[in-house]
Amino acid sequence: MVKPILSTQNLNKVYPGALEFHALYDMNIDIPVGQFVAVIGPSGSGKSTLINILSLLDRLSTGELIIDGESTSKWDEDQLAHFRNNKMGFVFQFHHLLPEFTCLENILIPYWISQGKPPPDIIDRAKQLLKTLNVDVVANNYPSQISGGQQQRVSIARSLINQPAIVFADEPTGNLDQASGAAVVELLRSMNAQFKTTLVMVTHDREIALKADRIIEVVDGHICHDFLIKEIGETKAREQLGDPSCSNVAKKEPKKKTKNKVKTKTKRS
Amino acid sequence: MALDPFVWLVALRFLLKSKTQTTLIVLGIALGVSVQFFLLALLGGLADSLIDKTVGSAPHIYVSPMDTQAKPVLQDPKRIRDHRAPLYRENQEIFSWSPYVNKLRANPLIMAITPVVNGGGFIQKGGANYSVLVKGIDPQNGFPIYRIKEKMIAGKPSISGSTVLIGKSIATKLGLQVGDSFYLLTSKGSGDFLIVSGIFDLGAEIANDLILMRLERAQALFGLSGVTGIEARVSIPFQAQSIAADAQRFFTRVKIESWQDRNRELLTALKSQSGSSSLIQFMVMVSITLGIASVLGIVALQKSKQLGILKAMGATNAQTAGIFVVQGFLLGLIGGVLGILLGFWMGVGFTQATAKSGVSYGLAITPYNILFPFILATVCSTLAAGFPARKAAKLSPVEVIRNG
Repeated sequence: MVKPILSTQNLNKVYPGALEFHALYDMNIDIPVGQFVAVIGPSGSGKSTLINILSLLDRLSTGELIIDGESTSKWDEDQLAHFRNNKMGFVFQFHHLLPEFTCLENILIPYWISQGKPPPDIIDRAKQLLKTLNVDVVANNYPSQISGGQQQRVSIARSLINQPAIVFADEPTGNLDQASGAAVVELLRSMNAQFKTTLVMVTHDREIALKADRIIEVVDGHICHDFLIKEIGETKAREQLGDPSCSNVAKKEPKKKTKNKVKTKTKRS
Repeated sequence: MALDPFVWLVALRFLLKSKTQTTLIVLGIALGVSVQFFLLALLGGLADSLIDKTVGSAPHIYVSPMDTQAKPVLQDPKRIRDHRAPLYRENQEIFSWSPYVNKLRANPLIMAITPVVNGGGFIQKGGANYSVLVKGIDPQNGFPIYRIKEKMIAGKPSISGSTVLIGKSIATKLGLQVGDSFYLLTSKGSGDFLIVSGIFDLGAEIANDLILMRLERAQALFGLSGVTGIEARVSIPFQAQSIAADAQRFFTRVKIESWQDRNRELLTALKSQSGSSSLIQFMVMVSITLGIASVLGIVALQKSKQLGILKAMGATNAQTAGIFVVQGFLLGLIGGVLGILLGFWMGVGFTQATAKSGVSYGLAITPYNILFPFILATVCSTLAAGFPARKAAKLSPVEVIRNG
């Protein structure tokens, strides 16, 4: 089996406080290098919490998260930030381009953050990415001057500038019309093939999810389904995703027991 | 952190993006700095001019006989006291003045020192008596004390034998010109004819009622064998007090005073003026600091989305905080420069306006007066950015990303 770039062991997330909330239960996930994973689930299922933890934006409560063979639980905030900058790319639902910078500059920001002023070859790389994503004409425009679809393409280019090992996309099509959304997923797909980048995408859209290699369905903080589309076939995959038994997974597990076992390590930030 | 070019780039873009906000806060800082600079330069200029008028062409240190007041001849209180006669002649005259001169001259700050004979007299002309002050000096050491060479308005700055220098007031009131002679009657009843070799203008009215002559000539006129005092000029006028006090410790028979001792009221007035101006400056700085802290606090809120995204992409807490510290620094710097220019403009306008009304004095444009408000504003605004900077450092990217 291919060595996993990202792996979790009994990952739990509990938001402490008066209204203590157990968001994720004992998750065990291995993601091999180069895989395109879709995390799917209804809203409030915990899929975004999961991707936030996997992408080191949020801390897990108990369990272990191993990225590239290294345990991340002891890392301080600066180490996490540095790792995010070097090894990870981000595509967000609302594009989150900085309005103060042009599209080309936005793409270069991840490089700027850790390495300072980008040299010509990095600028060329950014321009090349814009071209590949078919948005080179808007390079010198500000984000407010271009369409939502174009913004999302620019943000995909930005996620790739530091040649990350893994790209996280949180509802990358959520804010787009169907046609633009499909085009963006196609792009992600081809980026995944072209740059051998591992891709973890959160979506609530089954059709979008079916474009991935693998689907992990999260319901009420539990993994309900986890399969490779190629292995079971698209028809079976559609059936699985429609399976109502998922909502029972959570009920089977006695919540209180789990809750008592969990010791909160980190505060909700 | 502070030298990270990325931090500077983002800080600059944030400031440029919100142009109105940036302009307003820069103007606020500039106004504060200009008021501060204006107060420092104007009050400093006023104080300098007042002090210059007081000590510019006057001695800074005076040595005089300990007690020129008459004392009872007999110590026994039951006996009749004679208030007319002094106890010692030494008390009115200083006979051996060289120890005092040598002691003071040993101080490197003493620029010039001369024994003097002071006395009063009248000039009689056309049946009128005009009261004058007579001062006998050693010209070589005495002229620098009064800056006579710079203050000459007619004739030559030289005195010898019967030739003397007279003040402007005497010259105008009595119509005396260079080369004219006049009769001086001293308060002791003696008198002599003297020739005007030059006329000086020391600025103050009373100082221009003065006749300067050679020390020996004055001694002869007043029938003295000693001197009535010693006068000295100091290179740093404000050091005069400590020099005088220092010298006083060695001598008991003379009184050594500084110009500060003789102008207490003026100095007290200047001190309270600078005290109230310091208070105003302090308040201005506090209001600038609070203004910047609150504006940048709002900026931190407005830009929280951008900050969250930068953090998600790997910007560290220090970098995020640095963006605000740099913004504060830049605002202070730009506001400071504009403020100094504005203050300069205000000061020049103000002095021109007062010059029209007959009072003229310069602005004190010293490196301190420029750099102090400028550096203070920059430091205050950088510190004021600390509060939004902490806020930015604490920001969690997850919350920002979630809420779009």
